[in-house]
Amino acid sequence: MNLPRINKTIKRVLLHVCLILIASFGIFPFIWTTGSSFKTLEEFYELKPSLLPRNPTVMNYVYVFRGIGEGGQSSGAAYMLILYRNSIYTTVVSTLLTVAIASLAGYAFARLKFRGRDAIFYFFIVLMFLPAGGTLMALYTLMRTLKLIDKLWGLILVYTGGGGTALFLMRQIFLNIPSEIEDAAKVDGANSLRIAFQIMFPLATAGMVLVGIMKFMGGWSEFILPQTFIRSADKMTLPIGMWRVTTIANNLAQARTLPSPGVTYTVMLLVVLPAVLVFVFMQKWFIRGAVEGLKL
Amino acid sequence: MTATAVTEQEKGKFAAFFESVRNIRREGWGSIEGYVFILPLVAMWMLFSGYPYIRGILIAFQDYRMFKPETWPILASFCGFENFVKMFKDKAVIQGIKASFNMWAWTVPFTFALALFTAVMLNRVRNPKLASLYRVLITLAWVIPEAAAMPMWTYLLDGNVGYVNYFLRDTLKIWANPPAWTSDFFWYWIAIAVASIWKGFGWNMLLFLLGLYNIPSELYDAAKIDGANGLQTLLHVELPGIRNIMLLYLVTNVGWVGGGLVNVWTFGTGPQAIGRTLSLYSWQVSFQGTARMGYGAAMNFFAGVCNLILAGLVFKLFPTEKA
Repeated sequence: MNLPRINKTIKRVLLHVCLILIASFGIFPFIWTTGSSFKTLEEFYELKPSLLPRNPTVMNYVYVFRGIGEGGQSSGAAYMLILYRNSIYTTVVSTLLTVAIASLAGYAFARLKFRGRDAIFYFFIVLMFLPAGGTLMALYTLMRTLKLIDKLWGLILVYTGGGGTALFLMRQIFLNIPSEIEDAAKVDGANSLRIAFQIMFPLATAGMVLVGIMKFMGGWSEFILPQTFIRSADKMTLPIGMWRVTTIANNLAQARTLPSPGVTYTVMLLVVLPAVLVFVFMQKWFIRGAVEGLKL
Repeated sequence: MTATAVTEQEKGKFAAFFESVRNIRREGWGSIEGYVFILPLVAMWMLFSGYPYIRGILIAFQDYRMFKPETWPILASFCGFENFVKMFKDKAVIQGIKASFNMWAWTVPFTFALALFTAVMLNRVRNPKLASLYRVLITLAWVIPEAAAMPMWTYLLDGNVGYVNYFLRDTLKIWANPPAWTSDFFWYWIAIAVASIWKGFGWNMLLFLLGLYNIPSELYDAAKIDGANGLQTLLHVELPGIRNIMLLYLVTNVGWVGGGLVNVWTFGTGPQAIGRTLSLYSWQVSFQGTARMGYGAAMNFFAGVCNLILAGLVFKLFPTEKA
C-alpha cells in the first residue's frame, strides 16, 4: 500500500469513529432506559449499576399495565391505557385535519390565482413576525368562552389551528411542482377540480407525509397546551400524565411503595416508543419529502 | 420556515403586504374555488391563532386575573404600562432573564457546532445504508417528548445513583469526584445544556444535512478538478452552500429572552430554582396561585419584543444571498 491510500484509510476510520461516538451519545439514554426497565428491584440498590440488566424481568411492565394510578399507586383501572387512548386520539385527529386543511390552502396559495390571495398570504406572514404577547393566556380565555377547557376536542382544535408552519411547507411544496404537468392537463381539457385532486395532490404526497410526520411528532410531544387546558387526570395526554406519574412515582419509590424504580423507566420507555417507531418507519419518506419538496 | 421563505420575507414583508393590498383592486376574481380551498385554514387560524394573538397583546396592558371575572373586560382593568414597570422591580423576573440567558449561552452555540460538524461528517459517508443508519440513530432523540427525555437525563446525571457519575468514576476512572450535576449551582447549567443539546442537535443536523444534499454535485467535481482538499471543499463549497440554512438557525435561535420553557420545566429548575426562566415564571404567574394573566402576558410580550429586535439585527448584519 502506498502512502496516499493509507492516508485515505486513516481518514475513513476517523470519520466513522467520530460518527459512532456521536451516535452513541444519541442513543445511550435509550439503552440505559430500556435496560433499566427490565431490571429487578435488587439491581437498583447495588452499587455497581450496569447498562443492561443482569437478571431481566418483565415485572415492571406487568405492574404498569395492571394499573398504575394517577398518583403512581396501584389502582384497578389501567391509567396507562387511558392516557394512550387520549394521546393517540388527539394526535391522530389533529394531524389528519392539519394535513387536509393545509394541503387545500397551500395548493390555493401556490397554484390558484384569485383576488386578494397575496394580501391574505402576506397578512399571515406579517402577523407571524409581530411579537406575540399573552397568546396562551388569550387562548385560555377563548377556550373558556367556548367551553372547551378540559375537553380533548378543544385540544385537537388548538393543535390544528395553531402555527403557520404546515401552510408554509405545503405552499412551498406545491410551488416546487413543475408547471408543465398542470399545463398539459389543461390542454387535455381537465377542469380545475380534477387538476387539483387527481394530478396535483398525488404529486405532493411526499410533502403531505412530511407535514404529517412533523405534526404528529409535535402533537405527541406537546407539553404546554395540555398542561394549560386539561384539568382532569383521565383526560390528560400521555407525556404529561406519565411525567406526573414518574416524578411522583420516583418519590414514592424512595418511600418503597412502588415495586421498583424500574417502573419509572418502563413508563418513560412507553411514552417514547410510539414516536420512535413512527420516525424509524417513516424517516425515508421524511427525507424524501424534505429533499424533493423544500429545496432548502 | 425554509431558507427560501426567509429570503422571501427578508424582501420586506411589510412592503410586500401593503403592495399586495393595493393590488387587490386591480386583480380579477380569478379562480373562485380558491376561497373555498383556503376557507377551513383561514377560519381555524383566525379563531385559534389570530384572535388570541391580538387579544394577547391587549391582555399585557390589563390587570387580568383568571379568577376575577370583573377584571376580564379590557376597559375594566386597563392599566397602561403598569405591568411592565412592576416587572423590573420583581426579583424573580430579573433572575428569570438571567436564567434564560444562561440557558441560551450554554446550549445554542454548542448545538450549532455539533450539528454542523455531524452534518459535514455524515455528508462524507458514501454508503447509503450506513448513512441512513447513522441518520436515524442521531436524530432519534429529536422525536422523544421532552417530558420523557429530560427525566431520563435527570436520572442519568443523579449525583448518588446516576449512571454517568458511576461511568466517569469507576468505569473510565477519569474523574474521581464527579459533581452532583442537578443540584450544583454551576454544574446544573452544564447538565441541562447536555440534555438540551442532546435533544436539539439532531433536528438541526438534519436541516444542515438536507442543505448539503442539495448542493449540486458539479460544484464538488469542480473543486476536485481544481485539486481542493477536504478543508478547502468545506470552506468554499459546503459552507457557502448552506449559508442560508445557517442563517435560518441564527434567526430562529438568536431570541434568547423567552427561551427555555419545557426543557426547564421537565428537567427541574435546579437548586433554589436558579433555572427558572422568564417564560416558566410567566406561565406560573399566569396559571397558578392568584393567576395574574395580565402580568404573565406582559413578561411574554417583553420577551417577544426583545427577540424581534435581535432577529432584526441578524437580518441587518447578515443579509441572505439571493439564489
